[in-house]
Amino acid sequence: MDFKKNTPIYLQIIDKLKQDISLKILQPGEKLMSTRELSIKFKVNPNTVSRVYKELELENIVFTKRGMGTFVVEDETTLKDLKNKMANDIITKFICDMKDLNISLEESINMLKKIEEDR
Amino acid sequence: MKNLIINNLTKGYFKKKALNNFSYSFKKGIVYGLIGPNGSGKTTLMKTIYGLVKPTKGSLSFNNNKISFKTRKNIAFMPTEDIFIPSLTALDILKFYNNNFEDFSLEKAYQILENMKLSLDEKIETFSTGMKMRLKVTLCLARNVEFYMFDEPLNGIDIISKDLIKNTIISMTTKDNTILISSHALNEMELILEQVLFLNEGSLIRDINLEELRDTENKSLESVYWEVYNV
Repeated sequence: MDFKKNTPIYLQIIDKLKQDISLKILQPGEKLMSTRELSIKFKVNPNTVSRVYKELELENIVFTKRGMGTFVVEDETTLKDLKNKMANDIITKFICDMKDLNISLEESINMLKKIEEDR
Repeated sequence: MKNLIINNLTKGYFKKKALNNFSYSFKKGIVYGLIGPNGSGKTTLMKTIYGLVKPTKGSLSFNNNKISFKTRKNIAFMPTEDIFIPSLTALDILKFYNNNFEDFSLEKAYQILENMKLSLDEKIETFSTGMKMRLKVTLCLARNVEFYMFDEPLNGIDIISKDLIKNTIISMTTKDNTILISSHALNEMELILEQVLFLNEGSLIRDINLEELRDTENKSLESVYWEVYNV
């Protein structure tokens, strides 16, 4: 994975894992790699990965079983919410960027439709 | 938890000061980077921590013991110099270390050597520069100590060796040890370092937590390097 060097690494890993979870590349209930394994996979400091798991646990996206490891939650609503939230973030960013270009929401929607038709 | 405490360390060679009033407290569980142009004092600092260089002024203590040849039992140091006899094999060298360091673990050394993709029975004279570096890093990490120091572990080697060395260092990082790495390879090191010390003319001029830097200033290690040294 190519990281942006000027953005917190733990946030970039969180985004990647959230994406994998919402796309079911990481299944509900699946055991995640250990901190050490994941830090070697991403070639980052192990404390960075510990922080990733802590934050994901606070957001109730993963949970830790003592001595067993870290797992993706199985609750379908949580996982659906996660996908919705990610979609919302993308859309919000899109709307803000278009506003910065002085393009109205209506105009944006028309442009979207046009691009989709032309594809 | 702090383990190595350095206060007002100064090392003078005649009129020139290799270290100038350096103070710092190192903690367990952290990988530190030591950054600075050539001649800024990085190697002198490591050699002083290892008890090879005597301070002109100031104090160093490791877990409340004054730094001396005795504290060397709890600190491992990989110097830049080549230390191998060409006709020996990797196994000969592991055995030599095993006989000379009480805390050396042959079992751990075999494991690391395997991760480093080196074989035991080849002679050092057939090794490339990258393979020699991998062996040097292995020898340092195979000791069971609390504090590991590597002087330029990525200098002048191929990218495969760099990758193997980085992976090994990551896999040996624990909550109970401290790792200090000097390097010029900022881009390659910045993801495995947590805290970075910038040296200039023997003085500590900045001390940065990299995730905090990315979070609060949206900056990379390299951009800070240019700021710090003003070039």
